[in-house]
Amino acid sequence: MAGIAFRLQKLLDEDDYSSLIKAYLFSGVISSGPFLIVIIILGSIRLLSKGLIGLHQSNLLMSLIVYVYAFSMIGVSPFIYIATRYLADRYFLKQLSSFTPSYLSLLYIVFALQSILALLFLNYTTLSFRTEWITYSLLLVTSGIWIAMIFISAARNYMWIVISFFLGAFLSVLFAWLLGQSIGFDGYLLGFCLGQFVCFLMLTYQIFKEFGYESSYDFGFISYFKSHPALAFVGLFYFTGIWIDKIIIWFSKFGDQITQGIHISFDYDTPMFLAYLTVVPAMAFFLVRMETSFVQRYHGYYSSVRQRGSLFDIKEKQKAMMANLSQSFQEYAIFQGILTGAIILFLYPITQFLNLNISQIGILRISLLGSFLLMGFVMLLNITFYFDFQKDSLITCAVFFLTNLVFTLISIQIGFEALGFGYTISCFVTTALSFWLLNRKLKNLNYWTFMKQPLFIPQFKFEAESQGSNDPNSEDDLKSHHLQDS
Amino acid sequence: MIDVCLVLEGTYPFVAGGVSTWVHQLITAMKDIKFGIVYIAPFEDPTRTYKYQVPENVIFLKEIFLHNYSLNKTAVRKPKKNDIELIEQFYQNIFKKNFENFDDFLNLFRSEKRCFDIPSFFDSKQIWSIMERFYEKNDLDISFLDFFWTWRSTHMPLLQIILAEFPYAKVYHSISTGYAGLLASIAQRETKQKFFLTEHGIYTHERELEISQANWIYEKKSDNFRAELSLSFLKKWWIFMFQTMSRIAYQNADQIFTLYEGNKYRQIVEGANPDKIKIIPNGIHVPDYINLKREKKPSPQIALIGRVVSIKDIKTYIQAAKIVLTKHPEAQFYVLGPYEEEPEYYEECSNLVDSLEIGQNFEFKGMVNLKEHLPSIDIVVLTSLSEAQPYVILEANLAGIPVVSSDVGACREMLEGRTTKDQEIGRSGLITGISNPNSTAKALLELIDNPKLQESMGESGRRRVQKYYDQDDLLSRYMNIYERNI
Repeated sequence: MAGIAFRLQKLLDEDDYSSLIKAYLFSGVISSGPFLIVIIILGSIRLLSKGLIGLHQSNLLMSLIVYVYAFSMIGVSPFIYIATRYLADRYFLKQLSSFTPSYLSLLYIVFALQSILALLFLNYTTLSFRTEWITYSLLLVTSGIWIAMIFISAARNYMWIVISFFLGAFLSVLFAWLLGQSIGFDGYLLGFCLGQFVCFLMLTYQIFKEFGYESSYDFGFISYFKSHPALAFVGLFYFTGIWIDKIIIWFSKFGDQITQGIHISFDYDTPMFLAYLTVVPAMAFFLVRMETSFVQRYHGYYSSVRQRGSLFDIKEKQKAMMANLSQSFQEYAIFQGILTGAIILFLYPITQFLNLNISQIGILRISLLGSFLLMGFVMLLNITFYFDFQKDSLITCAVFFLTNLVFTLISIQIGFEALGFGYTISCFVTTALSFWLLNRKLKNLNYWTFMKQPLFIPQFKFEAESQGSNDPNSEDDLKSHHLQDS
Repeated sequence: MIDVCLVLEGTYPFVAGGVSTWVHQLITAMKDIKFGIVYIAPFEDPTRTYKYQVPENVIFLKEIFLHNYSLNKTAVRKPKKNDIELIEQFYQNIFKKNFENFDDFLNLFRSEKRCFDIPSFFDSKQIWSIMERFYEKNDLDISFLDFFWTWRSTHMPLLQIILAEFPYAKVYHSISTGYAGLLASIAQRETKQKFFLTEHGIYTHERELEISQANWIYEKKSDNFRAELSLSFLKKWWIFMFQTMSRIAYQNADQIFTLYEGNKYRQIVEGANPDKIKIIPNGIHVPDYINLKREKKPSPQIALIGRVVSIKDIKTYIQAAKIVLTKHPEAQFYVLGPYEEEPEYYEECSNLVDSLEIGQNFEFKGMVNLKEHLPSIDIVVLTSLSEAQPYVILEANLAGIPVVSSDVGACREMLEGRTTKDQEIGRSGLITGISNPNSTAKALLELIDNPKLQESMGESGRRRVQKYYDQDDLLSRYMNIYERNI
């Protein structure tokens, strides 16, 4: 997310209230746009379709959309950080012209991959051919939006992006309502898909417009799988980790079979998604903090290193940066703590309003805490990316995936009352581990900054190359003779 | 089995020069002794060529490259607390010019229980904190980036030597201090064999000149226009490192040989024990010059033999010529030696000749066959700002020509005699001030006006060179030393 920092900083530099709101809005969309939108759409479509299609069909519609999101997120996950890193490097080298070709190439690969997965999965289900086709299209459109998200973080026209998401959401609901009335079940699905397709097209348009179109492919990022393999696994573990508890519960005795191959657990999923919603404001808040005040101190630290500061200077900058981080965390804890606390306090009226059942309320209570902790992990992971501690990112994401897997399996064994605890304990363990690792790294940051510089072998002139120079005692020779330049 | 292992740094057999020629003569003269050569070069250069035909009694040749760092993990255990304390103690002792735990220090890298290699040393948190403490204890406020890189770039080649493998030999003979002296010291410590050190030029002194002029070592720009009186911290660091390496070699060497008294004093200043130092000058192959027939010309013929470079201070010679010519307008002055090396300096010299209007009597001959020119020359002049033990004095004296030389290097002892017995032979030339045309002219006039003195000095020169500078005699002294120890 190399570009977003500048965008946000510029917005905040304008220093009035409306641009602050714009900044939060933008970062909210960037950090959780598709997720936020889909929850809103799901709720709206469920309301709109009430009575028009049967409960079973309504459940099937929700399940298919949830499956599409799970599939698309996991399918794109190995590419997310690889592509982000590749783009950040291009951005740094001012090679913006490779953005659009990379975007297209990524689409080709992900679409091909998703098609294979979709074919295998849909072949197993007993859905109608038409439903399968619409679901398949929705999967591609959603994956496309995820990929576009990677690229538009560097785009300049942030309002367009915000509009794309909201218009896409509005159209999804509108088309679903219109088509649903005439065609029925498939109409709702198709309408939803069409709205998202508009969003995808608008984002793609913006990418073409901002970064130009010079070539139809650039597979340069593939080499990053070899040079930064950890990044692929970080993405895979993180996004699979996000879904693994849900998938386990769907296919456990607490899940409901909707149709062959499609299981879901409304008791578990609804509170989980609601809990995620509660951390969206904090996510936006943190992103703005990260990309502005933290980034300034981060650059301050590295420029004091590069600009030949004394160790004292460097340590001062290091302290300032760590103080800023710990302040951001404290603010997050207070901000989100109050929000989560308020929600727990007013849990009863809220759940009444949302029409949740008693078992959903229990899971919501514990998963609110889990999401609170998960956000902490996401923030720490973000910082780990900044410092390029790839090994730590990999460890924490792998631990997140594994603990969520294991603890959720255990919670199933214990019984219904334990659902949600597996996820929350996993979030706690992961966040604590991330914090411990990052804290240890930052305390020794200078060690990592300096000592981890690669041991390179200086370049010298060979005898054959230096022949013809009739000055055997030139300074260069003397220099290379005994000493080396740093 | 190797009798004598020569440890050579950037000289024989791959780089031509005075020291290399001497080594070649040494090896060639001792057919019965089996030599091994450890050649230390800054880096691996497959295009390098042999500059000498290596004799058959060299039975082993190994190259060690200072900057082709060995990244092999050779450590067999992790360093413990007392190992780190040992390193810190070792460094503290170095500053007190105390090397008593050198063996223990070497064991950390070389023993069966070694705990460091290049990758682990430069990755160690404990080593980092030793460095950090050093910076802070000394209240430094210099650029930490440069401090770090100086630390790394001084230590990498040192470790490369400390970890180097060498053959077993009965005698280790290094032909300089520096890295070669360090390696020979390590070999002596490890094999308990003899270590002899021969220094032609004083290594530390040469490095000091290089470093004080180096512009690749970072220095804070001075705020005012005054010239810096003292060297910057980082330059002192480099010099200190070379001093320390020399000191280690001087302390460990069983015998130290050098060319003349002046060098001996420098070695004593740098920490060598005077009792260990013996002077063995460079010799000359007597039959080459002893039979040259003098062919006197009617006018005085005066020559400076050497390259036209600023260190030879040709300008003083030109100015002296001007003074001499006012009394002896018939005298002829020559410079015998190539003038391509410093074209600007040559240009300045020619201009000086023109502006003094002595072009009729002054000639740059360029590269010539010395044996053709020597017979007709009456006086040889040396105005150098710096010399070691100049070969031209031996050549001129052996041909019976008196020398007028500035008081640098071994010139005085070569012309006036070093020991009492040597002095009894009588003077073979006159010593003048440095950069002092009047002094040079005065000496020249004294000789021109007094042909008897010319003759007696020439005769003394012949006797002295035959008695004290016969190459065969001098090499046989080394032969004796070797034979006593193998």
